[in-house]
Amino acid sequence: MKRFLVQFALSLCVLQLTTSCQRSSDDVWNDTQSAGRHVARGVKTAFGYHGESREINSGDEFDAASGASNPDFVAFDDEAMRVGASDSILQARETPGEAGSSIPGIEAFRDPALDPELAEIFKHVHFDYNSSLVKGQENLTIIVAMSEWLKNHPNVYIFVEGHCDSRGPAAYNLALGANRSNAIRNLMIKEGVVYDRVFTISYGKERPLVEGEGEEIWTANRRGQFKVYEKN
Amino acid sequence: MKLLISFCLLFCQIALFAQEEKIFVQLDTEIPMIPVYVTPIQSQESALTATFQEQARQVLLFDLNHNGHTRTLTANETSALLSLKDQASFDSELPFQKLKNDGLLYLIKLKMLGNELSCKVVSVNAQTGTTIDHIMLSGDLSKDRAKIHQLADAIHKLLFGKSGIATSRILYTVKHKIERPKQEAKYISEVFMADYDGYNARQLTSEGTLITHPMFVPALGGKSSNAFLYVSYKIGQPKMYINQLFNKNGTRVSKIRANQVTPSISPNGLFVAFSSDVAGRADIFLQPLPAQGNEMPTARQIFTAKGTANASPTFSPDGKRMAFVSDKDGSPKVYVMQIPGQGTKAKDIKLQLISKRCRENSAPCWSPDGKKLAYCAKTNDVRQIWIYDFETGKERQLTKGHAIKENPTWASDSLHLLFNAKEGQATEIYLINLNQPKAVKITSGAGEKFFPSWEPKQL
Repeated sequence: MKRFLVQFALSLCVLQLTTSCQRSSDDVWNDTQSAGRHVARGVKTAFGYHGESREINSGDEFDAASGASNPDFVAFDDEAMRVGASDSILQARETPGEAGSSIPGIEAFRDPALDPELAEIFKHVHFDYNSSLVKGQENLTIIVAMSEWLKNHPNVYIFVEGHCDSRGPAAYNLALGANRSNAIRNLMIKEGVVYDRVFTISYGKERPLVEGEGEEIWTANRRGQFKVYEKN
Repeated sequence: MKLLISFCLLFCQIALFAQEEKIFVQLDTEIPMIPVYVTPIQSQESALTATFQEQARQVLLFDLNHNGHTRTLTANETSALLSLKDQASFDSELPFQKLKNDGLLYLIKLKMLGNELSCKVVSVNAQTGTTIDHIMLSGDLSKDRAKIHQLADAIHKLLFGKSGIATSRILYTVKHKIERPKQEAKYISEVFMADYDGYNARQLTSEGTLITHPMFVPALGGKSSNAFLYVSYKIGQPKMYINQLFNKNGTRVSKIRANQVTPSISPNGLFVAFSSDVAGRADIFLQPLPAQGNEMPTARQIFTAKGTANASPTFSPDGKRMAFVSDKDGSPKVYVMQIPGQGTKAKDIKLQLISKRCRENSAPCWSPDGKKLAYCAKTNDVRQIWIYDFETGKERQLTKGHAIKENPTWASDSLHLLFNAKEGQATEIYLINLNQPKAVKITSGAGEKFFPSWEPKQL
């Protein structure tokens, strides 16, 4: 039996080598990540883990979690897809800059990088290519630090911008940018920031930080970036 | 025995994966164009200069060389034409047998009398000519281009039974970078409208912010569209707006919160589909377009999947199906689904995978005749334009070359496409058709041009 398992494992290795020669190393890594995600979901389900509970912070969130319809959109009714499921948190009802909003538009928000104290806290969060997962201790530390600061400054609102590098297609990158900004927002809310103070903007690849090509430039551009507004 | 089982498993898996095809290299499939000769303009008592008349003729030549069906010959190409150019007369007899021997099928005679340009289309085989209604030229080429395009479309209708696309208009954005001292650079893009050949470009918006995805709103009653939709970042989050041509400010299309990106209008002009992260991830939504003066309708979520980014919906001509991009299987791919009705559960939505050959597929656009999808896909590390044919179920690469091509959009004839392509530092709009896959650049000058969109068929 042991010998059979070893031979089976060897045959899988040969198979991987054989098929991966037809693809680039990036393709192989992307496919391996996809396979890993599917396996992880399967394992979690097998052990009965279907999501995580979290505190409801507002009437909007309650409506979403309870499945009540929202006047500005109608969501799917599936249990698994319900707004408020673990990977998606409803956006705040108020839109900065909209007629009737108590929060002004983006022009009133400032770049914390221009303030030496804030620049140390609101650093850019970086992403892997074609991914909206927040990974790495450095990124998580930035998000925790920002969240703490925001909890201590309850009159500050924040825009989380999602950006992409120049290599991906423009249209898809607008969706990827949205998911990147939401990934950061979700973590900030889980850290205790009230959800209706955090807004997302997707810029896709429309506003690169640095123009040009090359790994360093691409890495710099695949970012979450922030703008803040202090309400008096 | 165990070794045999392992070997069988290995063999089966290799056989399965060995079906994966390598990256496809485009085959040239140019369809022969019908040869046509356009005579120099025979001018009588005209105040319009010879230079202007030749410029007008060149506009017509461009239209005839890029309609996907004809190509114009120069006089030097055949001996019959060479002898003809010295004795060109609008009403004189032609050496039909000689012209036929040289492979010419049609001859287009032009005559200017005063400001009136007359045109006769002569069939070499039938040895008969048909006169097309004359056009009046003013001597201002920017104004006269529209009339010459009308003439080209009339010639097209005479030869092929349907009007060409020379009189159609296009929209696109022009983007500039504004450097700011000690601050992040600002990027501004505005919407421009132009003739299909890129001339007569006029700025439609002055928002001073980023704009993406301009598109005409289909007009009812056989009229040309006079409204357009676009996405603007002027308040911060990208939102959809509709504006009348040459009006100052647009009005909001959807009350949905959060980002609204990559919209598409249904061919009947009644609905808009778009991607929004209102629910915490980029999902596809559908909403009726608001009627003027009425309350904004409510959007409905029509596709979502955990941990995915979904974008770029495009409607089938009958409005019942939608193609869009999703990364639910890793790399973004193009899928088609039946647009779910109210009350459909997300888990019951069935998707048909369209883009199988390449990675990083994006920006699908459904042809008006319903038979094809155009999209861009990474091909040997360069983004190219691909076509999926619903009748054959096959994908084919339309473009080649090292420029990075995105955002294809169909003309109403389902034959021509526009796309934006980046070469070096410049991004411009290119025109191409399925019968002549050599693209021609139709924009130039300052600013990067993106998100072309073609005027839809009149309803």
